Amino acid sequence: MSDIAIQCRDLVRIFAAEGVEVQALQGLTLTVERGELTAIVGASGSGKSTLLNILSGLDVPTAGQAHVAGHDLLAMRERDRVAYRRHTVGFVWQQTARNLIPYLTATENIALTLAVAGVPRRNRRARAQELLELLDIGELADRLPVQLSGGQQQRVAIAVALANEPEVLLADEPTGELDEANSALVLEAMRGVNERLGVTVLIVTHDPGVSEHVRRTVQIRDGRTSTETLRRTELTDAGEEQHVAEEFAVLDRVGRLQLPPDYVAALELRERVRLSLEPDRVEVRKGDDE
Amino acid sequence: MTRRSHVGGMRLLVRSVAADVSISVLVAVLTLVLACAAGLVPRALDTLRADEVRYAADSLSAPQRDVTSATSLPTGAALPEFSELGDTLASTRRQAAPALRALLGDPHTVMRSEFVPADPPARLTDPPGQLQVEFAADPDYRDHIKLRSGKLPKAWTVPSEAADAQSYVLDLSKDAPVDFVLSEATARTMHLQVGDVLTVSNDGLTLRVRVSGLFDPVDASGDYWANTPTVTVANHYDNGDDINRYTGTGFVDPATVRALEAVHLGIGITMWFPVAAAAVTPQRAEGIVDGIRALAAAQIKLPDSVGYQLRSPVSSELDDALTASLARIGTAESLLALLASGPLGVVIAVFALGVRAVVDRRSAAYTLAAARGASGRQLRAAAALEGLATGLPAAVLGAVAAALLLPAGGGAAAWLAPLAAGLVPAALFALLGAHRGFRTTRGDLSALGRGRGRLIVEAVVVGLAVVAALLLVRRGPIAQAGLDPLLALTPLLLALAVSVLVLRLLPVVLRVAHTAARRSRGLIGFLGSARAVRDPALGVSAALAVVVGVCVAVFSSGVLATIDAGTQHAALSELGADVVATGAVFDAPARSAVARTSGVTHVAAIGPADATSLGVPNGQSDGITALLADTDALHAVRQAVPGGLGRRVDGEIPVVISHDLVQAHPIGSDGHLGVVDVRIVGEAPNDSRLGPDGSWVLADAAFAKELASTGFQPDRLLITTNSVTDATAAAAAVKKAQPAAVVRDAASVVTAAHAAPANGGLLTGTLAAAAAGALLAAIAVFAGSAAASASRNRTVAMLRTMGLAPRGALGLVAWELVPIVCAATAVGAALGLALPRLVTATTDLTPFTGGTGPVAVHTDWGRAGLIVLGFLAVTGVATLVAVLLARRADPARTVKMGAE
Repeated sequence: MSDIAIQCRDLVRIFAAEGVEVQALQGLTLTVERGELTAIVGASGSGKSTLLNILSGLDVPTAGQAHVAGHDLLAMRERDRVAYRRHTVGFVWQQTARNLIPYLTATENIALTLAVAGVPRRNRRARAQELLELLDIGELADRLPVQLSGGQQQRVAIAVALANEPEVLLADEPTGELDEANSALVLEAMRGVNERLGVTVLIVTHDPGVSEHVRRTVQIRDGRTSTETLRRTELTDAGEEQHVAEEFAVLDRVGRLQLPPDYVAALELRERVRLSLEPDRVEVRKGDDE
Repeated sequence: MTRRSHVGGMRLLVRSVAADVSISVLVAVLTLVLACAAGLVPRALDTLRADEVRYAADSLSAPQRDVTSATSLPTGAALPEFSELGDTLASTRRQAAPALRALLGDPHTVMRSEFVPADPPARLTDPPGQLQVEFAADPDYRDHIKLRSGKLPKAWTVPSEAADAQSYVLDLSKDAPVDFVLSEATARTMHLQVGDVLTVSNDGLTLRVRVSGLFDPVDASGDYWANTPTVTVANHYDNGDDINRYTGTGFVDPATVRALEAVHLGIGITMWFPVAAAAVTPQRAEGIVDGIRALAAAQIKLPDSVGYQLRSPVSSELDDALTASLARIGTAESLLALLASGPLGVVIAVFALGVRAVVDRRSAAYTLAAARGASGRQLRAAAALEGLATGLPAAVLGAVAAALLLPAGGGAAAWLAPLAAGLVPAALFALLGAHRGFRTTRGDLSALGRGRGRLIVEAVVVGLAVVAALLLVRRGPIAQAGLDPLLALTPLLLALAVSVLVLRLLPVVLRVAHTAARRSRGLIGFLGSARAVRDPALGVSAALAVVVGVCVAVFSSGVLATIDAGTQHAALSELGADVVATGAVFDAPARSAVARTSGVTHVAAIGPADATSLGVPNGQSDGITALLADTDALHAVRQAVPGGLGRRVDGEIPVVISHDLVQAHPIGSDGHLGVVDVRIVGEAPNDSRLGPDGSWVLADAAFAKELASTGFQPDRLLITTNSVTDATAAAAAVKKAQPAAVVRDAASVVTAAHAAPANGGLLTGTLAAAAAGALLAAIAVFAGSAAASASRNRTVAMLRTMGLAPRGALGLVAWELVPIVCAATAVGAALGLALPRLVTATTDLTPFTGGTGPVAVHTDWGRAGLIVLGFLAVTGVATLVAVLLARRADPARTVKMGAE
C-alpha cells in the first residue's frame, strides 16, 4: 500500500453556464500522505470547495489526475463511486444542518450511514455509541440535531463521517458557522481522530486560524496551490517548546510557482522579473532593476 | 428532551416519511382519486355495455327477438310429425353457437292452415260480417290455455268415404264436425259460442267445424302469445268497401292437422326458439350475432319424411339490433378512450409534479444518504417503499370506494386497475427519487448530455404524433372502431408534441422579451424574464398538463356540440321542422290557433293537389306527388324551399320541383301539372322531405282552385318555434285544435336518439373528461407553482430585503406563470378545436346522431371561450396564492439559510 493518501495532478474543473464559463480549478497539484492532517486555505472562489467535491467523489474533474487511497477518481464507475463514498471517504460540511438529517437523533444519523453500508443492525447501536464516545459526546446519543449546539452538531457530523471507517476524512469549512471556542473544539476533535485512528484528514477552510491546529497548511489561489506552511514543534536550546512555522512556495511539475502577493507588492514586481541562478538558490529581482 | 433512537433501516425510513407527511398526503389523495376512477371506469364500461345490449334486446318485441323459422309445405310434401320436428329443433339448438344456445328457450312448433271463409252458424241471424277461420295445431297448446267453457277438441280423422275420388266435393263432416277451441275474445268479436257449427269451404269441399270450447290464454303477454297473436284475438278489417271482415284462429287437436292437410288445406309450419332478453350479455353479443347468422345461412333442415329436401329459413332481428348496439358501444368506447387518454396523461404529469414536490422535500436526506454512500438502488428502493406506503392503502380505499359507488360489473379489471394506480406513486418515486442524486444543481446549468437526450425524446414524440395523425387520417373512418389504441393515443401524442413546441418556442419569445427588458430600467421585467428563461417554474409536465387539460375540456365541448348539432340536424331533417303535425285536416281556424301560440314563429301548411303527373314538351313523369302550400310560410320554415310562388309568372302558375325531377324537367321550362299549365321556376333539395319520395311538385295554395278539386285541405303542418319548451307548447296547441292529429317534435326525436345507454354513457364520459381535464390542468398549475416555491420564495425574500415593493413580487411571480400558462392554454385550446375534425374524419358518429350523412363538426365558441377564460382565471388565482405564500416566507430566515 502506498503512503500517498491523496494525489492530485494538474486538476482542471470548468463550469459552463449559458454563455458563461468558469474555470474553478486551473491545474491544481496536491499530494497528501497517509495519516497526515492537512488544511487547505483560500479565499472565497479560490476553488477549494470544488477540490473537495472532486475528492469526495461528488464531482468529476474536467481534466487532470486525482487519486484518493488508490482510487482513480476519473476512472471510477457509478458503482465504484458508491463503494468509494461508503468506505473510503467521510465528510463534514460547513453547514451544520447539511451534515445531519434533522429529524433523526445522533445515534440514528450514524445508524443510517451504517445501514447504507450494509452493517448488520445488531452492530449499529454499539458502533454509534463507540463513535460518540470517541468524540466525547456519548451522552448526546438520543438528541435531535436541533437540541445540540453548533459544535456538538459538527462533532456528531464527524462521528457520522467516520462511521464506516474511512481512510480519508474530508471537511469543508467545518468551523465556518462556529464561534472561536467551538471551532477549537471541533478542530481538536479532528486532530484527535487523526491521531487516534490514523485517518488522513483534509480540512478546507478560509479561516487562517485553522492552521494553528494542523501541521501542514496549503494555500490555494485562483484554482492552484500557491504556498504551503509547515508547522513543527522544536525544543529550544533552553529546553522550551517552540512552534516553528515555515512557509514554502509550491513548485509544480513543470517548474511553475506563485510568488506570495505581499512579496510581489513589497518589491513592486510587475510583468517581468529577473531570475538568476546562484549555487544554492534562485534569485528574483525587479525587471528594471539594473 | 430526548427520544429513543432506532437503528433499524425500516424504522429510519418510517421516521423519515413521518417527518414531512403533508405532500405525501396530497399524493395519497391523488392516488385515491386515480384508483377510484380506475375502478369506476371498467365498472362503468361494463354497465354501459350490459345496458346497451339489454336495451337492444329489450327494444325488440318477442317475435322480433325470437329465432323463428316459418315455412309452408309445397304441394305433394308430406306433413312431418310434431315429434320429428321436435327432434330437429332439439338438434338445431344443440348445434347452435354456445353463446346463442345459452339464450334459446324450449322451441315451440305451431302448424297452421290457411284462412278459409266460414258460413256463420244458423242461429246467427245478424252476423257481424264475413267470417274467416284458421286452424292451428300445437302438441303443447294445453299448457298455454285455460279452458273457460266447453271441452278441448277431439281428434278428427278423414271419414273413410273420403278415399273416394269424388270425395272432395262431399261434405266430409256432416255427422262428425272438426272440433276447435277459440279464445273468449275471438268468440266475442265473431259472435260465436260453444257448440256453434260453422261451414267452411275450400277447393270445392265443405267441412263442418264446431266450437268445442272457449279458453283464456295463460300469461297473455308472454312470449308464446306474442308469437301467435291471431289466436288470442280476432282481427277486424274492411277494404274500404264497407264490408266488415273478421278473421279468427282456433286450436284443433294436434292429430287433426294431418287430416286437414289430407283435405287439401294448405298447412304452414312456424317454429321458434324464445330468446331470453335477460340472457343477452355483452360477452355473448358477438357470439349471438354470429350464431344467428350461421343459423340463418344454414336454415333448419326439415325431417326426411317430408319427401323433399326442405329447409326452413331462419330469422331474428336480434342480430341486426345487436350489431347496431355493438357499433354504438364501439364508437362510445373509442371516443371515451380518446377522451380519457388525455386526462390520464395529465394525471401522470400531475403525479410526477406531486411526487417531485415530495422528493424535493426529501432531497436533503437523499443527498446526505447518497453522499454517505447510498447507492442509486438503495435510494430508489427507499423512495419506492415510501411510494408503496403512500399509494397502496390509498389505492385500496379508492378501489373500495369505486365498488361502493358502482357495485356491478368490472370483473377482475375493476380491482386490478386501481391496484395498478396504487403502484404509480412507487414507480414515480423510484424514478424521480434516484435522479435527485446528491449534487445540488442549478436549473439553468444544463449538462450537454441531458440537452441532447431531451432533444431526442422530443423529436421522437413529435415524430410519433405526426405519424399517428397521418396514419389515422389515411385510414379514414372505420365502421366499428372499438378500443383503438392508435386513435386513443394520437390526441395525447399531439398534445405532447405541441407541449414540446411550446416549451421550445416560448423561451425564444421570452429571450426577446428579456433582451428588451435589459434595455429598460425596470427590475421586474428584467429579472422576471431572466428567471422565466433560466429557471422555468413550470416544466414539461405542468405545460403538458395545461395543454392537455385545456385541450380535453375544449375538445369535449366540441364533441358534445358536434353530436348535439348532428342529432338536432338529423332530427330536423327527418321531421322537416321543429314540430310536425299530420293525420288530420288542419283547417284555417286550427292553423291560426296554432300560429297564435306563444313561441311559435312560423306555421306552414301543406296539402295534396290532384295531379299525379308532370309533363314537359318532350316527356312526362308519372307517379309524382303534387303538393300545395303557403309557400312564403314554407320558405320561412325551410329556407331551402323557394317561396313567393303566389303570383303567376307570365300568366302561368309557378311551381317548384324536387331535385330528382330537374333532369327531366329543366328549370324555366313550361309544363303541365296534370292538365294545368305551369312554369317550373325552381327546385328544392330532396332532403326537404316534402313528398314521400324524391318526385314531387309544389305550388302555392293560392292556386288551390285550379289544382285541387277539394280545395286546399292541408294535412300536414310544419311549425318552427323559438325553443324546445315552445315546441312542447306548440305540440299541445295542435292537439287542442285537432285532437286526431299525430304530432312529433324534434325534441322528442332527439330524446329518442339519446335514449340508447351508449349515448348517455358518452355524455357522462365527455362531461367527466371535460371536468377532469380542467381540474387536472388547474391542479398542475398549482402543483407546479408549489414545486417552484422554494426557489421563488428565496428570490422574493432576498429582493424584499433589498426593498422590493409587494407589487414587484406579484410581477415576478406573474412572469413565472403567466407566459407559459397563456401559451399552453392558447395551444391547448387550438388543439382542442382541431381534434373534433380528426374525430369526425376517423370515427363514424352516426350511431349516436342518427341520420345517415357524415356529421359536420360544430364548435360551441361560447363554451370554449368560457373554458379558456376560466382557465386564465385559475392561473390568476395561482399567481396570487404564490405571491401571498412568497410574502409569508421570513426574509431573515431565508437569507440566513444562504445559498443552496
